[in-house]
Amino acid sequence: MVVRTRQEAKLRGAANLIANLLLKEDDEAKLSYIELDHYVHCLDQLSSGAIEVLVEAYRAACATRSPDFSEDVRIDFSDIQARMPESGPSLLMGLVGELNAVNILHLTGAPGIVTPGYANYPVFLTPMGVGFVSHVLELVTQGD
Amino acid sequence: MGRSDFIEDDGDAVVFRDHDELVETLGSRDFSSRARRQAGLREDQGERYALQHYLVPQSNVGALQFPLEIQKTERPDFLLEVPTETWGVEISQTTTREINRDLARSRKNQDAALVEYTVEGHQMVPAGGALTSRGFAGHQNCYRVAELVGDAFDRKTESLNKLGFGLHQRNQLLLLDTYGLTLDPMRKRTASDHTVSAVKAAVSLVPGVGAPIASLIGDYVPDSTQKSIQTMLELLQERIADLEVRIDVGAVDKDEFAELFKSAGLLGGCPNAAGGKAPRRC
Repeated sequence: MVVRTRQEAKLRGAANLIANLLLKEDDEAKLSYIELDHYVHCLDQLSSGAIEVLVEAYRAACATRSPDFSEDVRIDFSDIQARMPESGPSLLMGLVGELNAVNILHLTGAPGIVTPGYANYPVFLTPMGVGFVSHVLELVTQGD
Repeated sequence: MGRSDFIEDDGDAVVFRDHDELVETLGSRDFSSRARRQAGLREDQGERYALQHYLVPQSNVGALQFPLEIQKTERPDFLLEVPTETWGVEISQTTTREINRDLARSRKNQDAALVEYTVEGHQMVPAGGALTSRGFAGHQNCYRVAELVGDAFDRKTESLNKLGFGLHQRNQLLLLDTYGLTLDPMRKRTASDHTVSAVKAAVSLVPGVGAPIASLIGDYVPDSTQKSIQTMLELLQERIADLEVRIDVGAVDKDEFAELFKSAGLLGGCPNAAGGKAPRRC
């Protein structure tokens, strides 16, 4: 994945994951090898746009009332769209779809009544997505 | 005859009656620099290394006549006597005295652990120090080696002409590449290599913008890859420094560590990435 992109967020994410493997066994931030390996593969697969969507989805989730990150946190597609107005709904849904494929975001499908531009589609930020944000992108520890 | 006494001093000579004897005698000897250092042999063992790597292939294709006598002389380094003529063989290293000195320092001195070749020249890198040059992009390493060998050829032929080299029926100048720069010409070309070559060839046919775009593919892409790897290593170094007291390197499962590195693309990447394995994801 390092040879594929020079975007710093992904390179920093790869460095963070490798460094995590070196942590002492009793360090509370230490992840299992299975988690690390999966996150590295997620990092490799995700486009830079998808990572940007994840960051905005996380911020949108934080803005909801008392989010419990141990479970899926629901937001609407329009919450993400509002934070990324420069991207059209079609592209944005494609990026959400990338994150859905690795269960970082979860799409449950179309609602009963569909509003234009996928606005009322429910999008869930999964605990794995929160883990990705905190361990790979390190947004949580930086107070974002 | 032991390894160290094989036509070592001026006047020493050996005769090979036929191809089999030559291959059996020379093929069983290790004149490599590693073996030379281990056995504490003289540095000019390199001359025998070069001669061995010249004669055995020549004999394999029937280019030598027998009986063949090899005689060690001061100038040129060897005389080859065959039934009809005499060949003079001069052997020269491609490296300059200055580079040889730095290479020797790098082997012996822990403060100067590496000699870094750059597009412009060479420099010493202290142990643990970072490489500072941009590295070689595209075919720059090939061009650089060609320049260095060409320079060595010019230097040597100039001095040989002054010394009257050419007294014998045939005169051979063998250049022993002591730079250690890897061109790896035998590396098996991968499907990815062929695709890139095909795309470059096709793009370069487009009038006007074709050639610059082909250059972008051939030069910028590998350059960018190296930058990514370097950035990643810098970020890792930074991160490890942050986490220093929380790290226990001794407890790390080395297989898992290696696998994670490979997954991150550091070891399994492009031909220009560290490691040199077949590209997994380029």
